[in-house]
Amino acid sequence: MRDQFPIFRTNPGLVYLDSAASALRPQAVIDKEIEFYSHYSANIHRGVYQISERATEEYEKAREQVANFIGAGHSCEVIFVRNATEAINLVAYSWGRSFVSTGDEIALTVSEHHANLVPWQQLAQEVGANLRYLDVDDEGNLPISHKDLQLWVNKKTKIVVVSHASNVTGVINDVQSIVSLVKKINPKVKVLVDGAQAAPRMPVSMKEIGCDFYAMTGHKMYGPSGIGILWAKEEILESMPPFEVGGGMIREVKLEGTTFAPIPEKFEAGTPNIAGAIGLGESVRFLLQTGMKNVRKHEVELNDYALTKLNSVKNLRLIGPKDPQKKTAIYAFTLAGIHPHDLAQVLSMENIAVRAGHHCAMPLHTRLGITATTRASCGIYTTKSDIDKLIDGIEVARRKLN
Amino acid sequence: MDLYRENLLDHYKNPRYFGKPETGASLVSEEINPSCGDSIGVAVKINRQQEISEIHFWGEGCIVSIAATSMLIEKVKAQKKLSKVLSLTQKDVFKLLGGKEAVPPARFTCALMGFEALKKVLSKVAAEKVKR
Ligand SMILES: Cc1ncc(COP(=O)(O)O)c(C=O)c1O
Repeated sequence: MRDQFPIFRTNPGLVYLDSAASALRPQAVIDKEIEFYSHYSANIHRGVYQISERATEEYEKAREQVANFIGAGHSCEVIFVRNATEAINLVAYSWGRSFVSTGDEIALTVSEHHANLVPWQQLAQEVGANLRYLDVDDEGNLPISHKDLQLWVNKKTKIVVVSHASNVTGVINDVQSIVSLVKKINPKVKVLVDGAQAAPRMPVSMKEIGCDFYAMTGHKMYGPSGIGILWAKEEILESMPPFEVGGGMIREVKLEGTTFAPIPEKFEAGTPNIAGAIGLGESVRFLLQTGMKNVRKHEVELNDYALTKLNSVKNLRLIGPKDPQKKTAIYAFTLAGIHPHDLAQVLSMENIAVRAGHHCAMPLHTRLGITATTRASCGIYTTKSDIDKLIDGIEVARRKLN
Repeated sequence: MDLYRENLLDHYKNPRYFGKPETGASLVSEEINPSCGDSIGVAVKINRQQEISEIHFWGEGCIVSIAATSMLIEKVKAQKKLSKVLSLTQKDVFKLLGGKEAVPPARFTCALMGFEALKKVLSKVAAEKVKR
């Protein structure tokens, strides 16, 4: 697996444990972007010449590949955006400003990434809606019994937003049950799932989850940066006004007014990130070829190993569930007496890449009573030896800094 | 590059002039680092000779932020004269840390937190003077 990632050749000895921030890219994805730029780097859609037709074909093929990857009903439900943040903002602006109004409720959780929190706070402020937060337990798990959810969701709730997997604790939320339970409480409620951390790490199926919106980001899926995906149910996309307007998303423009193109073009104003989308198509092909069940199995094996190892490190407090089955291969922790930034710095001197801070989840850190953590996160190329090097690096840091 | 030199670790473990002042007469300012939620506060007292007669800092931070602030405050204490202290720049802070090359760019915010808090509190001194 590792020899498919050229970065390990150009950076010998690199221990990359920051895949939750951005995954590394396999050669196939890099080659695919080069193929676009060197063989058919034309604008899509309206070109009648060959290379534009080829670019359009590849761009639409990428949409099909993504649709297939997430088990979507139809590829017109796949909207290319910049990243997960834009996918969520698109919903908060376009759907939110049309369907949420004064006195309505938005149900969200304290464990969300800022990308799935701030857009909803802004929406609530703007339209006078209320936010209702679901709290986590000390491991970061959401309580999702019918009784818990009844306190969270009611007849006033317009949308429930929740992440599929946490970028801090690694907790995998049972979004399928959450969707079915909240829709029992309020059949009209819409559910948005932030899949940024789940899509690259486990099989995901829109049909099974039953949500209305699902957000993903290319750079965490071994794909290019600057490309992301919003999946949404066809009839909901039809009911929404465009997010941005301009070229590429119109049917007819007259001086008196404009009619919009059908979905998905309605939500892709302007020239999109064509190379990015095509590269992302290749990255999901790569993931499907690896097999998402295998990807998940590899993560559970890493969890088995890493959780035991990390728990035996003196003065180390691991955040998140203890059960390897309940989480992704993301390990956020604190080390008594050593600040996360200093630890990450010393690890970097050892050629180990981890991240320190609040990982864009300040409310979750506050809830867990910590200001910052060090986070090591795995990818499909991560080995047990990487974990060993991390543990050794922690001891180096302890010696150096104490 | 060795950011974590002996000297730096010493300032981290034994920060100079560390602790919140008890008396209420000081001017106080706090600075936070948005990437990790750390915070550093600085308090000063100025005498009639336009000198810094008392200075303290406190807070929660990494080695870089605490040590940089401790070294900076030590320097301020030695310089004493407000006019001199006002002319301190970011460059001076990096010099204390062994040069800008010694500090990785991602840590600039840590290195400069104390300096920013100091600058803020000194601007309050200026504002007080105008009021008087
Ligand atoms: C859970 C989660 N949601 C959303 C995002 C935002 O992704 P992006 O920065 O690509 O928009 C991230 C990435 O950090 C994430 O981990």
